[in-house]
Amino acid sequence: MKNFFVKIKDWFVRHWPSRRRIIQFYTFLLYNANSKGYLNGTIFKGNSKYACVPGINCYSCPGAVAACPLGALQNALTASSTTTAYYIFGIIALFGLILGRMICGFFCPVGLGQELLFKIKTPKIGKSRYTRLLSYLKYALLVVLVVAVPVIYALQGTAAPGFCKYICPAGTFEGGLGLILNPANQAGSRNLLDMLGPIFTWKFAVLVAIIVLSVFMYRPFCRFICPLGAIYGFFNPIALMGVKLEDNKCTDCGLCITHCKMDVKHVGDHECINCGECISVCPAKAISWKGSKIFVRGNDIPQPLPAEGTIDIKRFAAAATITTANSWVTDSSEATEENTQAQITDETAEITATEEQATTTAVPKKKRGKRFWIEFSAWAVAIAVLITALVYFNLQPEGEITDINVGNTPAPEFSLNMYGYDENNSYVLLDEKFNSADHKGKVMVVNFWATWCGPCVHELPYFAEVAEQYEDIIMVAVHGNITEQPHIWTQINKGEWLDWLEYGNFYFVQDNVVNGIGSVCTSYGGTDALPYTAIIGKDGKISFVRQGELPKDILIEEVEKALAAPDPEESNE
Amino acid sequence: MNKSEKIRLYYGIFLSVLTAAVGIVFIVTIAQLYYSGKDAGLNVIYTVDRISEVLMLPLIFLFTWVAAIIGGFVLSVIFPVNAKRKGGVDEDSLLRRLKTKIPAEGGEEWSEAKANIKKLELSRIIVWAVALTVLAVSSVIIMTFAFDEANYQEASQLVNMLTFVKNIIVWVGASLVCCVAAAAFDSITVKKELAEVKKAIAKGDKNAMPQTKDKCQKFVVLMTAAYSALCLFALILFAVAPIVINKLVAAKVEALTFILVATLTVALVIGGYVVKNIATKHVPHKAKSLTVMCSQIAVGAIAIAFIVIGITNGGAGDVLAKAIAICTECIGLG
Ligand code: SF4
Ligand code: SF4
Ligand code: SF4
Repeated sequence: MKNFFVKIKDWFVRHWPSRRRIIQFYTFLLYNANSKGYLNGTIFKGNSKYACVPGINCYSCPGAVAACPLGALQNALTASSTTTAYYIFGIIALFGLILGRMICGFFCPVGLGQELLFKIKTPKIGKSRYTRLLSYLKYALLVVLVVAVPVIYALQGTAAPGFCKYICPAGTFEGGLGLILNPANQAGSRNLLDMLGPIFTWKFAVLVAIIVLSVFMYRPFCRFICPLGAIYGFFNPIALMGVKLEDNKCTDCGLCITHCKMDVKHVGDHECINCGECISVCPAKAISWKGSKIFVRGNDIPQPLPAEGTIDIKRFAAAATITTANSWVTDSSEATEENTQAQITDETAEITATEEQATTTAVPKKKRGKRFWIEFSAWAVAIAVLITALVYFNLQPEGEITDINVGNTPAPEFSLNMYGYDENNSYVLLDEKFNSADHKGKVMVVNFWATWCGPCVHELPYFAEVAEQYEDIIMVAVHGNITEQPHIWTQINKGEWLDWLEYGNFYFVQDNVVNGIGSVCTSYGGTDALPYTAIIGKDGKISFVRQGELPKDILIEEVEKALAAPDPEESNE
Repeated sequence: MNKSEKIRLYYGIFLSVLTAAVGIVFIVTIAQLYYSGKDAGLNVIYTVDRISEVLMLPLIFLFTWVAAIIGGFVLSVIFPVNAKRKGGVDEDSLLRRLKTKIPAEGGEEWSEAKANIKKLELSRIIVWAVALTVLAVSSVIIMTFAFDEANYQEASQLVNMLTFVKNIIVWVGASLVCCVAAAAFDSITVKKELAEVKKAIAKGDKNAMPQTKDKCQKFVVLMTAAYSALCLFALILFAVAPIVINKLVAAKVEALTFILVATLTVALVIGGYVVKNIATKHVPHKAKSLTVMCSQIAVGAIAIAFIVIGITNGGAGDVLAKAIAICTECIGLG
């Protein structure tokens, strides 16, 4: 029995999270500090979303407090017929320059998720020539889905973020499942289930496949698929932080590459995620952290070592055997007694600092030097930042949500500026107002949309067709984009859309945008998701609402239903 | 195999099968839910009722899986296993390393091996050059097609996309085949070359170890200077571009600037690589870090310039606009 407890204690000692793991969890929490979003099923709308986080973290995740660089990049490219994506290029280049793929090793929740799944104890598929070949797939995906698809669609005037739409498992998991699993989003005007279709089916399957693969392979998404990792890989050789290899010390023994689970050819190349796990296996101490003089311990291995020059390679080979992709064991945990010592050293000993060092390993007790205080202050600042972020983001006021009772709630009246021609015959926002009160007694279809929203732009022509077909109804396309740039209209100007204005019952108006959402949209029960459509009956009550793209047949069906309803004035007589 | 190892083996097989099964059950369930709804002509396929009807089986699997994992952790505490590994040395890096150890002089066998190495190396270079040329030519053809608005004249987007795919598929296929073939050829040649390199090392004159020469230093310094000048030029161009664009607000011009910016960025990155790799081989540490520093300063300056330009051209606003609303298609709901 005593033996059993010793084993358990050993297990805990060996499984104490490494410094890297703690940073990964920290990052995940910080990126998703808006934890109230998970409870409410809504997303955060503050100005912090001007900025991007370095790793992949879907901006439609209820917890996310900043934008995802990969999504923002694709979105910027979808606007490339009017705006060049300077901002996001700059942000990504800056992150790449400072951190390189260290972002993958330390600051990406998707990487963390895959590493945790890899800990499940099944046989593993190791790296090989073929996985290395496969690792070039991510460059193809970068070119095709992240760059070509958005740009090609942009030239046709539609937004299509290829990677987000067809692959990204982070979007499906954090954004998709995070929102639809919330009961608040399963009914009423916020119903998201209504719009699930082929793309959700496909993306859910991709998500499951990647999760299953991650159990058998180390970081399959990062190695083969992730375009963001591919981009950061370009910056690895010049990144200011990360691992560095001193050529003059390296003896070319190859232990580092054999130990590494990524498809690297040499330490610090474009596949290297700068996890630093090879630092402790290098017998020549040739690998260390960049900037290790100031921030972190370099490559000293705090275990008794033979004197320089008489390094026992076998000993390090033994250390290298602890963690490998080919072994039955998934992490550094299953070391034997002698290996345990080597293992605990670099990671555990440093985290637990001085007190525990003495008890876990044979490392001599060190004085609290400059480095200790630097590290201590770094952790203190980090914890303070996290707590502040959690408090700040959770205290932000929640966006207003209007409850709509279909068939009973009277449609709120609104008066908004219309788009139309000015004296120079160019299409602009006019001073003239559209007043919903002027059209009392008529069936009105109000569609809330935005230029960047692919499904919105996709469905607008249906609305135009229906407006042409049913002359009795009023069709209002309420634009809820917050970018007040005149050029967003160029894409509308150039197409057949101008004809729609000739119908006489089709109006383009501009919503008053408050906190990222139009106030009229909110008053009609709209929340975060576009497109959003409401149909108002002759009695002035909301007879139908739908979040998400509305198929044409449903639109026609609902319009006919509303038209067929008895006129309230006639029935009063 | 001792008892612990046996237990670990059986448990591992069981958990692998279970993991794969859970994945399959989930994928099949969702596919079946979708297709049955589509066949029945339902407008709304995913409803709370329909989902809860089919959820039983996947959930049973999922809970079993979770239980199995927890069980596995308990097992690993009771029966710890000492990890063993296979794993081999990486052939490419081995080749690279061993090549530096070939003596400068040797007998007949040595020169024969050297000649063979040269031949094999040349064949690798030629094969890769051909493959990359095909790739480059295909990319140019695909890009020309992609950026020609005349190819998007059909009303239906689907038809446009299909035409696009039909026209590019040959080129995509050709470059794919070439690259895969080159990689396969490479892997075979590396093995042969490795044998020759080992022979050359064994048969060479042990006293004539190769000396690293610094004859390229001047060239590298020149190249560094040229690269830095290119970076500077790019920087000025990027700063000027938006002003020019503002004058010509046509959609085409923006697309062209984008291509220009993208091409230059790629050129800078590749240039940086080449410079750095040559520097690594031929110049002392100081000159190398100077080269790296040049690239860092250039990239940093470009990044900051881009961010500033981006804030003024509305790019930052676009990021916010997209991030604060759920775009239904992004998260896979559309
Ligand atoms: S490769 Fe992509 S998903 Fe993986 S850690 Fe890097 S950014 Fe994250
Ligand atoms: S080379 Fe070293 S730092 Fe890079 S990924 Fe591999 S183990 Fe991590
Ligand atoms: S383990 Fe160290 S000495 Fe061996 S190849 Fe890697 S860096 Fe060089």
